[in-house]
Order: sequence, then C-alpha cells, then structure tokens
Amino acid sequence: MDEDLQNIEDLFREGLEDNEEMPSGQVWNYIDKSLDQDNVISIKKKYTSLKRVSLVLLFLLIGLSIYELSNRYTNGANILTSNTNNNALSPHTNKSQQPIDSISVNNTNKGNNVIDNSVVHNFLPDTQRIQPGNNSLIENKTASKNNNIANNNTASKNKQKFINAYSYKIKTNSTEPTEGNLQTLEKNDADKTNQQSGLLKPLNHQNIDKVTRRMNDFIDTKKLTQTNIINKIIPLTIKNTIASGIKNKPDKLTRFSITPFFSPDIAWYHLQEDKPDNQPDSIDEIKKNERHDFSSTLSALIDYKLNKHWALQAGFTYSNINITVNPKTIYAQTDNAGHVQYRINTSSGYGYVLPSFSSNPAVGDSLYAFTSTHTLQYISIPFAAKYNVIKGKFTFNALTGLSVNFLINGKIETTIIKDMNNETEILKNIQGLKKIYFSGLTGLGVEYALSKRMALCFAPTFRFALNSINSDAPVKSYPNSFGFATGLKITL
Amino acid sequence: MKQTTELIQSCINGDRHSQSKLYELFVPKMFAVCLRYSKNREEAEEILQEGFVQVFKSLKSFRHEGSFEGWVRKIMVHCCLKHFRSKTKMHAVINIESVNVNETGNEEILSRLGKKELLKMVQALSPAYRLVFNLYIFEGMKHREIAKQLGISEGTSKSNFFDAKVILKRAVANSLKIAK
Repeated sequence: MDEDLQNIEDLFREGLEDNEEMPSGQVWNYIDKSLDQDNVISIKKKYTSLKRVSLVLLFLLIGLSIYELSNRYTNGANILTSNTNNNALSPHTNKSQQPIDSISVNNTNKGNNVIDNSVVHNFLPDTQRIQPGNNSLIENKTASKNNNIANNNTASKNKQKFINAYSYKIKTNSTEPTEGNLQTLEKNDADKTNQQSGLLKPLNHQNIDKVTRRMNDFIDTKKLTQTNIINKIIPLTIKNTIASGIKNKPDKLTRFSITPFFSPDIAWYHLQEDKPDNQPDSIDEIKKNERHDFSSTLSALIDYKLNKHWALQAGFTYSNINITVNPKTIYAQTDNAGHVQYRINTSSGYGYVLPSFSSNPAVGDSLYAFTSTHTLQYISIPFAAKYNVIKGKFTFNALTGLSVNFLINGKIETTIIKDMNNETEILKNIQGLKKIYFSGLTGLGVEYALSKRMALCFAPTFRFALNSINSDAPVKSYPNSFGFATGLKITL
Repeated sequence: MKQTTELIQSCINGDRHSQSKLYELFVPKMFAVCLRYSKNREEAEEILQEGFVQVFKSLKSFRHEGSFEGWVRKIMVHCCLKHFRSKTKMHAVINIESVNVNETGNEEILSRLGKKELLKMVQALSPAYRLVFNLYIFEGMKHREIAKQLGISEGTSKSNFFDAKVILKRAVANSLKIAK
C-alpha cells in the first residue's frame, strides 16, 4: 500500500510539474486596470503629502506672524518703559521742579515737530547717550557728538536736527565750521517750546549754556537722519499717552501660557485577538496587510504655572490617523440587519458594502477590494502635570498625564473590483468603533525663550491607549503614537 | 537573463508594454500553479490576477539573487495560500473507504490518463487536502513548514496529506477502470 502511495506522489509530480495553461484574455485586462488604479492612488498620496506640507507651512507662518506681532508690541512697550525709566533716572538741578516727561523740539523750520527724548536716546549708542541734568556729561557728550559734525552743509543740517532732538538750539558761529571753532548751544526757551508742542508739559531744561564742540569729530549722518525720521514716525498714541501722564505699568506676566503646536506622529496599533467569529481576517492577516500612513496632531495647550517647577497642562488636540490596507478579497456575509453584504474588516472596525454591480450576493461570494484606507479623527482633551527646569534661555520639562479622546470621524474608503466593473465605496460608519477611549501620555520637552513672552517648544511625546478603540470587532486595537510636537509657547 | 533583467527594470519604471511582456512570459506556468491550488479556472484566474498585481508592485524588492521565475512562483503560491487560508477549515474530516488498486506503472497511467484528468483530480480535493498536497509535492515543503504556513499542527498536515493521497489513488484507480 505504501509503495502505491509513493507512486501516486510521483505520478502527480511528473504529470503536473511542468504543466502550462493559458488563462482567458480578461486576466491581463484586470491587471492592467489594477495597475492604473495603483498609479492613481500613488498620485493621490502625493497630493495628500503636499496638502500636509502646506498645512505645516501655514502653521509655521501663523506662528511667525504671532511672534512678529508680539515682538512689535513688546518693542512698543519697551519704548514706553524706557521713557519711564529715563524720567525716573533724570537728575534735576532743582528737585522741586517736575520731571521731564518729554522734550519738545524748538525747531523754527518745523515748529510742529514733537519728540520723545527717550526715543532719540535709544537710537544713540551708549557712549553717546546724554544724561540730562549732568552738565559736564552733556558738555562732553554733546561736544563729542558735535565733534563729529561733517564739514559740509548737509552735515550741518543733520547736526541741527540732532541737536533739535535734544531740545537744544545750536547757535553756530559760522555755517561752515572750522577746526578749533567753538559753537555755542543755547538752552531752548521752555515756554516757547510748550507753545509749539501744545500737548506737552512745561519742560525743565538744564542750565547748560555753552557746550564746547570739536569740529573735526565725525557725526553719524545716518543716525541723525534716522533720528529725524523718528520725529515723524513716533506714533501719536505714544506721545498722547506720555502727554496725558499715564504711567506705564511694568510688563506683568500671568501664570497662563498657551502653546499651539503641530506634531507629526509615528503611529501604530497594538492588536489583540477579540472575537475570531470565523472572520477571514485574523490578527496576523490584519497586521500583515495594514500599514500606518502619515498621522499628525494639531493642538492648543494651556499651561498653568503652579510654582517655579510645576505646571498643569490642559487643552485640545486634533489627531488624524490614516491606515492603508493592502488589496484583499472580501466575502459576503449576513450583516446585523440580516442583509447579505460584503464585509470589510480592518483593525479599527468593520463595515459592509454592496456595490451596484453585485447587489444581490449570496453568503460566501467574494469581491476584490483594492487598496483601502481607513481614517480616524479624534478630538482629545489632555490633562498633564509638567515639571520644568530652567537653564538660562532653555527650559527642560517632563510631563505625564491622561487624555480623553472623542471620535469625531471614522471612515473606510475602498475600491471594489469584479470583472470589468469597479466602484469606490466610502463607509462613513465604521462598526465596532467606540466613541470615546482613554490614553496616557508622557514626554520630554525643551523650550527656548525667544523673548519674555515667547518660547519655541519641542516635545517628543509618547501617547498610548489605555483601553481599546473598538469592541465587537475581529481584533481589539490600542493606538499608540510617538509624536514630535513643535510649537510656540506664548505667555499671557 | 540579461533580457529578463532589462524587462524587470522597465516594469519597475512603469512601462506597461514591458509589464505585458513579462506577464506573457510567465503566465502559462503561473496559471498552471494557480490551477493546482484552486477548484476551477475562475478561481485560478482570480488568484493569478491578484498574484501578478502583487508581482508588479513588489518588483523593486527583487534582488536578482535567485531565479526570477522562482520568485514569481513564490508570490503566486503565497497568493493561493492567502486566498484559502482564511476561509478554509484546515481540519477536513472525510471517511476514506478502503482502496483497492491494481499496481500499475506511472508511465502507463500517464499514457492512459491525460494531464487534465490529473489536474481535475487535484482540484476535486477539498481545499485543506489540496493545499497540503500541493505544498508537499510541488513546493517541496516539509510538514513542519506546511503546518507553520497554514496555521495547523504538523500532525494535521501529515494526516491531510495521507488522506489526499488515498483519495487521489482512488480517483486514479476509478479513472483507470473507466479507461479500460
């Protein structure tokens, strides 16, 4: 008997080993069509990638715009603060006199010019800054500046503007200054100035009658021009603020900060066998056939600083999970309502399709589902505790917390092929998918302070599901992801 | 060999004419493989189509280290297994009646039975038997490997193979009787 069985093996091996058969011509047509669709899918994917890149760029642009606006605001505040500080620092020859809030320029040519001395002050290098009230300093420094006056008329005009900015009128002994000549600076008449400015408080000028000036010293005409421009561009509001005597409060930071960020994620599912239920897609099959595409998270997180080291974090995140399923055969089964439809199983859940070209299938009939994708979108509310360590401009932090994730959209998209027919099916209701799941999050981060209010953040964060996202499905899926969150922290 | 390499490269570049040529080159042998694993031509064509799409998609991963035909065949067999693995119960139980067969040489049987008849006998086997029989006889796999591939125990694989042989022997005997 054994000998006979051995013969059977050889009989079939010899008989069928080199057998050749030709299939019907339709097979190539199907393949041809499939390859075309494959190309379409790859083009679609490219466009999707472009969309994502655009989104990232848009996000960065918004971030930069916010930063730029905030910077401008901060600079404006600095000017005001600087003004306040200067006033506070201004020594007065007579303490009973009011402090100098601003100095009006006695410019006979442009009588309506009004200038904040601090602005001019800020435009000058430290060595050239004048401390009003300190006669010797003014003498030296003004003289130093005046020494820089060029030997031509333009320079002379610039010089005039420059000195105007300091509310001093230069009386030039000669229009063409020569080396060794001395020029006299006379203090402006305060009343006259007040008449011209109209808005400002009476000025308290220092009793500087004469300032000597060396002629050959060079004056930076560019800076002088800038100073002149500043005369024109200082926002009226600032001047009004100064004029109305509103005190500038110090720039106070609250305990709150907001961090918009974008995070490209490496996502994967941890799968567990749930109910085999005689489904054709086993856990191994699903693992083999599915691959995660680009996933991302957009977020706005609010930090509340408890103390130097500890902070609480909460906010909103929007995450997008994309999974591609390799082509596979799907089979007709009886759905929950008793209708026979083709069932697509995925790691997220399952759905039924009934293409128009095969609208009355029998249980067990099969169709070819071309590459399918399933997409899940969640809005999450994370709560985390954060520990910060500040090192200079850098802040290092570690965080851990929980997140409640709400499903807002889940869909399966697939193209069904049978003979020469094909149809794209979109299932907007993935069955077996839970509406809410919980996840844990933990991560490390680093922040780099760009300014007092702004910091660039980079925080690699690991998110892991605490319960499965589905039930009553062939497999239980636990989504995990590792994200590289990059954002801009704005302290409110 | 050089021609095949160039053809493969053109296929990777997406040249449809080359893909068609490659298909024509290998389709007779691959279809025969698919036929052995399926119950009819329609099913075999379905697997063949799936297999060739897979071949074209995976061409980039072919490293030109072994025979290209062997590589394509491997993909076809894999597609066949994939097709049946999920929906087939691998623990088929069939009462095999005692078989009385005259001892006849293979050459003589082959001369009296056509290849098509032999193929029909294999296709008539239940999927569980057919898969194990094909993998053992034509792919040269050991029962341990078959068991791993199909997700069954080694014992089940051996048992299925034995049963398949008994059924085939009976079928051959019957055919020979009719041929007489």
